[in-house]
Amino acid sequence: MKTMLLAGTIPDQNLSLAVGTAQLQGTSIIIDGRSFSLNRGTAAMIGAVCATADFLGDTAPECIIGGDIGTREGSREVYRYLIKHLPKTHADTLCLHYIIPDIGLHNQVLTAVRKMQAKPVMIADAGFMYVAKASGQAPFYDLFLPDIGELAFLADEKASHPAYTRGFLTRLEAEPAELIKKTHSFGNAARYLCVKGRTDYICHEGAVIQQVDEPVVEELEPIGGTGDTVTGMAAALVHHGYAIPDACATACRANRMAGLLAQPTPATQIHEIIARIPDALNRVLSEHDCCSTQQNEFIFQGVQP
Amino acid sequence: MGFLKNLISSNKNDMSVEGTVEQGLLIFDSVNDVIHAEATLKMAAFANIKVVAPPPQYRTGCDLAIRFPIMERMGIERILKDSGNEPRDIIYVNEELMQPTEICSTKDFGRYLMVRSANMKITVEKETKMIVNISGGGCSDVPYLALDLIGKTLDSASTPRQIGYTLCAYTLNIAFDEARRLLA
Repeated sequence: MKTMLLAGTIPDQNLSLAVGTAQLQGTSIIIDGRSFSLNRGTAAMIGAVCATADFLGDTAPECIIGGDIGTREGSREVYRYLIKHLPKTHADTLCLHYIIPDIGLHNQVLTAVRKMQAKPVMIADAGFMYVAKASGQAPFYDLFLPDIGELAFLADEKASHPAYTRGFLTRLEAEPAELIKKTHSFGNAARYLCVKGRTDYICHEGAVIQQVDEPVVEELEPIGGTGDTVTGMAAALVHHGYAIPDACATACRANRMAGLLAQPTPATQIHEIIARIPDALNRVLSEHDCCSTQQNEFIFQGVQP
Repeated sequence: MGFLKNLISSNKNDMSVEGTVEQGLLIFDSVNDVIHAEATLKMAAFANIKVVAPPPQYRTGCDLAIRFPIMERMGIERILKDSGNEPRDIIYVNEELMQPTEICSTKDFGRYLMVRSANMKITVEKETKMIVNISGGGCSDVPYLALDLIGKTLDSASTPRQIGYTLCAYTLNIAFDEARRLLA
């Protein structure tokens, strides 16, 4: 049986570490007997994975969640758990999410991954993507999912965090291709990038290979967690067997569709979008033939597996 | 504590990033300590300090440092000691260090205004000044900040700088301040 492993933090000061299978129940997720609300961040990502896995008939993901409001303790618990347990863990897909960047601990996590019997598909977003780039280890990963501001960070060879990114975002949004090229040429890209924005760009080796720009739902941009749901859906689709570019394109389309179905305002909260994911996936997969396999991925790229 | 290292340059006569004034760098254990130290020093009228990225040897991936004119070292050390927030280290620097972005952009949604700084966005209902959404970021305090701030007004909410811990919180605070300024 295939195993999907998700790791990140949730803002719960009373939680040290929760490890277990995630279940989506209404506006909450249940892990290790604890209930967490579907807030933005890792909870939203896990919620999207659960909704997508359930839609596809897959088993629910295994999760490693630290309670962290920014004080680092929960993040360190997650890093340490991964460092200790990954070498003897089987996982086909590993999705790493909100965490306080710590270059030293991150590099130990990668050492632990290298000790696994088989390297999982490595997906990173949020703090884990930041620290992967800051540590110079981006190419170890298979997929990053930055928004346009985070892409500017990946493309900036000197910035150690998006807060230090140089350049003006309004201009950058008009020139994503240049940023994508720079990200790749500086060695700051994963094997694939899924750049989330007004137009979503799926990229490989510095080039855009797919774009998604419909439906347009302007109100999704200010809603916290809409990037996390793309990451969750993409991860679940990759785990199911979709080629990474098709998983990303499907997730981007379904996220827009879920937004459209929710009829959002800028004040809408992310659990309202997550509730629409099954319907959105059903519509998107009916309209688009995106059922390629990992083997097809290599045919698409013109590269032998 | 507070010993002075000549980390970047062995020549104290090197030109610094601020013309001929020698620069020092205060290194702390966390972004939160830097945020509090910056506030303390600004309250004490040390106007020439700047928050910057620490040099690579000191980076963990989410960190800030404070650059200051070295001639003000004694006063700065005293103020920080009195506030119980002494730096872990003090070093010389004579290279350009990156500063957090202070640029904001806005997007008007009619009833709502979204303000963005780097990777962080805050959205406010214009009429009531109520914070309705926070998005972006990747550090662990972003969901915590969202839980605390959403539903409060810009005037009644704690600032992200007051309750946050990371560079994402620091960046969100820039957008928060800009929203306050635009809707004042």
